[in-house]
Amino acid sequence: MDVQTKVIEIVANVCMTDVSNVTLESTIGDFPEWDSMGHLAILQQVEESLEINFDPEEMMDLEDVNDIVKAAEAKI
Amino acid sequence: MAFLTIPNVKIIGVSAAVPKQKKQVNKLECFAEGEAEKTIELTGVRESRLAPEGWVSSDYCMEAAEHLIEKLGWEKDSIDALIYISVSRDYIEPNTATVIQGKMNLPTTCYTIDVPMACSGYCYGLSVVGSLLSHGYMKRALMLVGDTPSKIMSPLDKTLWPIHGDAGTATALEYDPQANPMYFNLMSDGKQMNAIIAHASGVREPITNEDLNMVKYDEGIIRNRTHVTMDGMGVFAFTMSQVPKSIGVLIENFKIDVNNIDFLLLHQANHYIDEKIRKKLKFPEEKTPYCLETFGNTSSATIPMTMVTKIREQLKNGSNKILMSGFGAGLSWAAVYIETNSIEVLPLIEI
Repeated sequence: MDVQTKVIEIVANVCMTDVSNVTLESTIGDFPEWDSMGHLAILQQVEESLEINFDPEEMMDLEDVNDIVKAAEAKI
Repeated sequence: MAFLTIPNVKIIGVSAAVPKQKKQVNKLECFAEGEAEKTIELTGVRESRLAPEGWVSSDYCMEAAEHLIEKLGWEKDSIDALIYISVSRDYIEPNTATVIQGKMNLPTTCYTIDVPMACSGYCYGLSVVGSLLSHGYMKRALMLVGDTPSKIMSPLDKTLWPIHGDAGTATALEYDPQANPMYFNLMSDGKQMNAIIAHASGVREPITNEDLNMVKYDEGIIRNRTHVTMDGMGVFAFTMSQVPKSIGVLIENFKIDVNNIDFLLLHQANHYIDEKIRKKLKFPEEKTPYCLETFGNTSSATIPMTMVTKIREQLKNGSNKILMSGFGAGLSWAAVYIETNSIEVLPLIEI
């Protein structure tokens, strides 16, 4: 499974929506569940499933799906 | 930068008191189905303690203090200062430290003052008490640090209520010319005052009948204007950007050898965020104890609660070099380095 597909799957799972509703442009606040806690849950699950570790400073720039995909791909 | 070096002061004892009643995160009514489990997984908080009606932060601090001074054998007349650090004050007027001084029958010669800080409170408190004792005119001080978030947060707000817990602690400090210095890096950013705030809670916005109306802001977020509210994303960004940096600056400025540090004691609001800070500092897991799984975020009390519940034996038996970091409402954050030597640490008191 590629990184983009995995990230979208995680976002959909945390936001309790179908993967078809999640795009690369989906961002914090687009779904009721994607609040600050939801954001942390997404980042945590991406880290665990891809066995990567986001740097604290870097995490502040991860605002939408595309940001997360790019940051994750750079670590694999 | 507010760097401080405080010589001639040492911690000689710590104690903590909590309510017996537990608050189980997976049984709270503010969550929709499945949300509790996700919150537990992310924050690491499974349960915390809940003060009954009529019991407040100062009561738990006072219990902790009474037990501690008895164990230390301190005569009450020998206590020169009592500092109460909390946002859970008994009254706007008078200050709570003086109320406690009266209840504990401490002498009228005792210096009493409140420091209304939240999660950075323990670190800021050490700078205040240390400064008072360092000159040697005052010899003994009690630093009471605690909070009862259950009194100022909405039980129907899933963003704050589940992860917070009630506790009160007491730390005994003495003037000692042989003590190793304490080092501080203290920071504030009042431009972000709205990040964590109870709007109608003081004289700026006096409480009106309207402020008491419970308003639904989102699913699982119902509160009134006297309750604490938090901008989660703002606090997350602040923590990630400032806290590891402030600890690093403390280490660099005072040339602290991190390899010799025995414990890193972080304020605990969220296990995932704390682990981010620890990993950024490349600090070993076994030297970074947490107590938030069973006590939650007890605001200013998380650091002394960790000392009492997680590293009591190590603190009682031998010397320890400790880094601490507190961060939260204000916004306010502080990093501290202290050394302890066989201090008295009482078992947790449950009331």
